[in-house]
Amino acid sequence: MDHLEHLADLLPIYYARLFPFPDFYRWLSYGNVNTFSHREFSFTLEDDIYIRFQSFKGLKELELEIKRLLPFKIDIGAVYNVNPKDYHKGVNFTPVERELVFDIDMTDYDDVRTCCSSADICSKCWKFMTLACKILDSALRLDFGYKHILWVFSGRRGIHCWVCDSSARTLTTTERGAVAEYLQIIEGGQYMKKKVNLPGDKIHHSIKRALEMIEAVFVPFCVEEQDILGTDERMENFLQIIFDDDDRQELKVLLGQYNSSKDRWNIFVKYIQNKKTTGDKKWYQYRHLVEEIMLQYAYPRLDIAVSKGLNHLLKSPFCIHPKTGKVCIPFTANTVDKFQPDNVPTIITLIEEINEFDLKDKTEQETYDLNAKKIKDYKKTSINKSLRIFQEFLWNLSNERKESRLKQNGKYSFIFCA
Amino acid sequence: MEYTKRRRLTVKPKSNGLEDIYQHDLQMYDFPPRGELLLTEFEQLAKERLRLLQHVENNVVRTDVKTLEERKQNLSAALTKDGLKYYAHLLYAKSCNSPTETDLEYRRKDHISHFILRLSYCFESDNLSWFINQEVEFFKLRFSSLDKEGIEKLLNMHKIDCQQITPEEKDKFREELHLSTSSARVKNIDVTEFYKVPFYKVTDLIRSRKVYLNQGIAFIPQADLVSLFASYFKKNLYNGMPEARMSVGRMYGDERITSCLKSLNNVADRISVVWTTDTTPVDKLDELSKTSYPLCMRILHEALKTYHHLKNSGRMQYGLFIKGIGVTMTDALSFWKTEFTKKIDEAKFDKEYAYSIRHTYGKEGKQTNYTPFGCPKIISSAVSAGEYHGCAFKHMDQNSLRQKLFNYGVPAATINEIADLAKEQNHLGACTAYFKFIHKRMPDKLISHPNVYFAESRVILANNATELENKDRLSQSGRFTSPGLSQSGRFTSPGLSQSGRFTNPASPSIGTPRNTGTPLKNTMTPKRDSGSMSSTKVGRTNMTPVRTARATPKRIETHLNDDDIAQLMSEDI
Repeated sequence: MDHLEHLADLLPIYYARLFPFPDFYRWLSYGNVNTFSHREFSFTLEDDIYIRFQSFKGLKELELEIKRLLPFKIDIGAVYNVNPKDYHKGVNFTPVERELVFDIDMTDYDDVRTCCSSADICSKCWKFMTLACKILDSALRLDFGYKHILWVFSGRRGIHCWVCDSSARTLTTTERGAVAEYLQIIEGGQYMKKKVNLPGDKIHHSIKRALEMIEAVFVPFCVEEQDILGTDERMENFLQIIFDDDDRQELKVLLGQYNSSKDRWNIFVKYIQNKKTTGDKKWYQYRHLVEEIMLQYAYPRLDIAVSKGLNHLLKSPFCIHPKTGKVCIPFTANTVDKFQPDNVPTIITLIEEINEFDLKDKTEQETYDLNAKKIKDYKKTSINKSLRIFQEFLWNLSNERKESRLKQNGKYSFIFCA
Repeated sequence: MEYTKRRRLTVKPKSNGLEDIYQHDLQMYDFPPRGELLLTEFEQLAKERLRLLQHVENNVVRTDVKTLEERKQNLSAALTKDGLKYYAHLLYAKSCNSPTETDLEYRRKDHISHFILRLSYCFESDNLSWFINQEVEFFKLRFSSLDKEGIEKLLNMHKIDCQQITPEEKDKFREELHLSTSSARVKNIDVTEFYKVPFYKVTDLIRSRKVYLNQGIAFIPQADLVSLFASYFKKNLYNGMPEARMSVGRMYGDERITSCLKSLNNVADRISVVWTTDTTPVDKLDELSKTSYPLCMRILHEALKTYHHLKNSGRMQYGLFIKGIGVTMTDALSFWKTEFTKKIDEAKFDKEYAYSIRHTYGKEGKQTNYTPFGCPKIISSAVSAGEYHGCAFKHMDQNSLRQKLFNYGVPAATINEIADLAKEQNHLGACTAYFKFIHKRMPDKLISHPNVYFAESRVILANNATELENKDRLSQSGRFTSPGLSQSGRFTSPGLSQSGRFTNPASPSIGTPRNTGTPLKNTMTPKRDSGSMSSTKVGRTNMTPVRTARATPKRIETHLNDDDIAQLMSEDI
């Protein structure tokens, strides 16, 4: 296969010196040993050997097993009522808890991005991911009130979102479905050219918020950079969204009089606005058209099957993508603008960084002969920053646990006093 | 739960006691009935409840009835006609505070009969979801009859967590409430009362973005309170099932009760999947896709042949369909493989796709024997960019649909007819119109399942072929002369008891004079008889394993949650 060369040689070092086992354990245990020990892990080993329903009693066991098996990919599944390793064949084996997750993959944007296709990405189309991250993050926080959201780069061409609030982890399948569908507005297959339909006269506040974010970048990003009206073919594609035959023909001629994507977009917007103001018979079907088109081109495209199922597997943070060698590092929505997939450290660069550091360290030690203070390996590398993001996320989680425990204790002491 | 039944002893219900027990016309059924009951009454109540739920179901599938009021009137009329006047009465009950003796008696019947059916429907998940769906639907209709007092009383009785918002809050969120509350239900924010509830209690309103949502709290207008109650009601029913199962366990051995409960359980009879009993060879699929496939499947087949790939949902929809029309697992594997390997190598196919195909045939994972999707499931499926599945009349826009029909040689007038029906969201009507064009006649049965469409098509084409044969026996140029296909006029449903339901070959559907004397019919007769008996092992020996595995097909389309499918998808990586 087209795996990264020597990955099997590099992974032992990565798992031995860099993979953040203690933090990883701290995350998935959520302050409770059973939450961890009932969690399903699945591993993809070298040569695509795939093993499901692994589970571990604790940090030690997980660490030993990962170092022994050296998985090319680690997937995280649900927390079950019993430990998956021993009981997954039992009758009553059911998932009981799982982070609410979202998976956004660049390939789902193939009909609206023009710079790359399928597995390729570049800094231009990465902006779709940036926008998706911001829109989803604000909807999850403001509309649903979630606080503990972990964003993770998927290693090649997408991003994952893990909502870890306890109220999110215990949602049922139906409830997850409702959240996912609330956040999904692009619908329709190959034979549905217009993929966004906003009902009614008004626009829902959540979509309105998304629109504000999209409008801010739509012209420079979609119209100019992605050049969505730049060629005859793209224009043809775009105009298929217009249902009415006469108007489509009219627009085709009109847009054809202009050369640049931007001029064409502007004249298009003007044409539609004109329909509205002149009280055209068809104005009602055009009432949200400009907004709908912007959403179709730039609103997050979710793979909602992943979000709906409790037992769906999703690649773990800090995995190494077997094809790119990149680390699946966490990032935050606040800093997503600065995130560039090209700058994500790969397993090779990380190991080089450790070696370099150690070499320098060694010479320094020899020179000064100071008390050799042990520095953690990850601190020697560019993964340090991502780990700090992860640790801050963990810190917030454990803080909330402490607070809620205090609150509960407070309640009891109140009862005792009374 | 205590069900004590005596044959002779009757306890005349005292209305005073009943007034305490049944305080509301609309019940959540959160406690089981107590007391004694004649066995005859037990049976009668149960049967009437079942008829009620069947009426409710029939009412739901009617597409011609649009408004809620019409729907209720319709149901009420059907109930009255069927001698179920008390349910018709309950349908319009307002919760009246001073119930008459008749009211109380109706409530008691409602209560007891619900719990009897629970006992019968609590075991098998298909039955259970059917039962709960109908009960919830009936609940919603009844809820809409309640007056304000009735709603408030219900809220208090069940301590449903739901707070009315203050005028200050309304002022604060005025703009958002105005933007985000579906205007179909609420015209003026100022005269509407809003309630705050956690979003997961009103999933249907969240799903369709019909309400304002802030920090996990949904602001629902009074008109949408029904959502809140219905989901509470539904949850209650689900939670009550384990206890119902235990109660049945305790009654084990009382033949009178168990046989009665068994007789009520008829959901399996209503399954509308038509399994084709003949093996369909895969090399006929190209031809069949043009003559006997519904449009949704024709498009999937075409997309697969053109692009040599289908995404997961497309593979599920089409894969289960061809399983249903009699493609064996071995054939299906080679069929998908032939197409996919035009783009990817064999190893990749074996690794990534073969498993899920075996899975749909129940040979992997949970070994669930999946059943082809029915129209409701297909119509409600989510379709995203790059996908071809779903219902052609729902998931294709007008231009694409027209273009596609044009490419298939449909004349302009028919295209207009079909496209107009699709536009009116009459998907089944549009599908029937397509059928009519292809076959030059209407189907005998209601098209509500792609495999029913296929079965109907085969019957008609086989008959046409026979007629042709009769006209010119020497000529071999009939439409379908392949031996594998010429017999496909006969279809039986999976279970024994079902054979009469959909395609009872012994009584050919009305309106189509069929040549019973033709040679083809004659050859079919003995086989038909054997097909409807489960004991014909001999006749089956040359059948594929598909057939034998059909004993208890699982219906995926009616499952309340999509866990199984999620499972299937998650295992198809």
